[in-house]
Amino acid sequence: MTVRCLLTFRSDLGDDGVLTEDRHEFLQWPGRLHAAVAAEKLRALGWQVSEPIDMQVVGWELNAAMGRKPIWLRVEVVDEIILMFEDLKPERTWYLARKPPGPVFTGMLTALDAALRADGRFHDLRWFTDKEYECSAPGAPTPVSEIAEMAGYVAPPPPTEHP
Amino acid sequence: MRDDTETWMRQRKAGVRAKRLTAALPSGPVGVSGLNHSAAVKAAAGSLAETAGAVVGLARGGARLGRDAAGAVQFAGNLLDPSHGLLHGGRPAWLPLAQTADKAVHQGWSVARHPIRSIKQGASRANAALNPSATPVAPTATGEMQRRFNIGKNQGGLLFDIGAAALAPESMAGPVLSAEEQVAKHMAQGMDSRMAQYLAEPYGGMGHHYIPKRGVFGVKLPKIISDSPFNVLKPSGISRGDMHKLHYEVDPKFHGARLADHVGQHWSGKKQGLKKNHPAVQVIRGAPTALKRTVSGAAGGVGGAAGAMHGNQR
Repeated sequence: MTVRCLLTFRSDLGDDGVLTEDRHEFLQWPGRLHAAVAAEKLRALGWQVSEPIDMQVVGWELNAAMGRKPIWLRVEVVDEIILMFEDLKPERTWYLARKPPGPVFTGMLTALDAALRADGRFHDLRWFTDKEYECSAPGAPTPVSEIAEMAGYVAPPPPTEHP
Repeated sequence: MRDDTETWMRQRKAGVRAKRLTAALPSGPVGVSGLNHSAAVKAAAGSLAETAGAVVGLARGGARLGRDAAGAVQFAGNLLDPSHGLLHGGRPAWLPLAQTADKAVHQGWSVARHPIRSIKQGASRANAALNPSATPVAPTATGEMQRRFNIGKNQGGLLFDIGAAALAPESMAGPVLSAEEQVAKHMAQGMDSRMAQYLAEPYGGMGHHYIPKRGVFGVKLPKIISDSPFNVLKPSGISRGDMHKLHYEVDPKFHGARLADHVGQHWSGKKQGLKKNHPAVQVIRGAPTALKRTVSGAAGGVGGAAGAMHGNQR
């Protein structure tokens, strides 16, 4: 099972960045609105979510928790909207490598994907692993691989070289 | 042969120092002997000698730094001087560097063959060099003063190295380009002149957090540490464009940013054709300069002090 934790999409919400008078610096970096929408969707799914945290040039972040399962979200606004998710307390192997995320995390990704698609203001939703995004893979329609493969998605071959 | 001469020189110097210290004590057959073996006198004299040693160690650290800087300038001059070989009997200017590298390779090989033994030996030497309780108290006050003076000297040297490492002025890893060169560089990357000028301006953002604010292994750093120069990579004088590039390469979660002066336009590492560094390289390259300097300074200081003490004990 592959879990893709990076979502890209286009949005009708517009650019919410606020500029200084001389239009040279940001007073508020773009992405707050998308972070607020993500928080609202997660709350509707039963998660406890923080207010958006300003990370300036990096974007906006959210901390959320379902019981004792904390997760982290970041919204980056580049040429498209990027949403990143991370399980902050993943299960680990004896040598501290991450185990595949459990059902709470994957369930959240799948439910959020469905909620965003149903919203109508968001388009071209594609899910990636970090590596897939970096090597410009086409992206999968769903965050969890079994579901993506059932929808006819064929994962690209892994990149053969790394600088 | 050279080692024997060095050992003899060291022993001779130690003997002369011990004679001077003995001469400084009050004379008299009974008084001197009693005082010289008294535990209280040994403790008090040792403590004073350790403080004096620390001052000497700090001063020696400064002198060593100056000597190293002068040596580096001279070495660079020799390398650039075509007549150096002729004036030094055909001995090339790079020979000292090759000899040092050869020695380092031999030592590195020895450590690689017996890593656990080397770590244990290193820790044991550092403990003996810096910790007064790690070695037995000398039988006489003069001996104790000599022992504690050496330890103080090592402590002073270590303190100097750590301080110098942490306070040294920060510099960028690469050559510092002028504003015009920065603009030209960004235009060569395919940006229009307005965007190139914007990216050539000094970076004023929050930088890259080495330990991310979200934490690692479920543990978050306190804000005072998280936002300190020991956790934030933001080389002084770096331009917006260079910082975005560095940030992209060392942070697995950073992909780009909107540009304020160009609403709707953005800087994207992927579109620039950049590649993320390998995770192992990110760990090293993404470390803030203050953290790198402190770690290397502390390691160098402990190693140097241990080496000095090891040399004294041989």
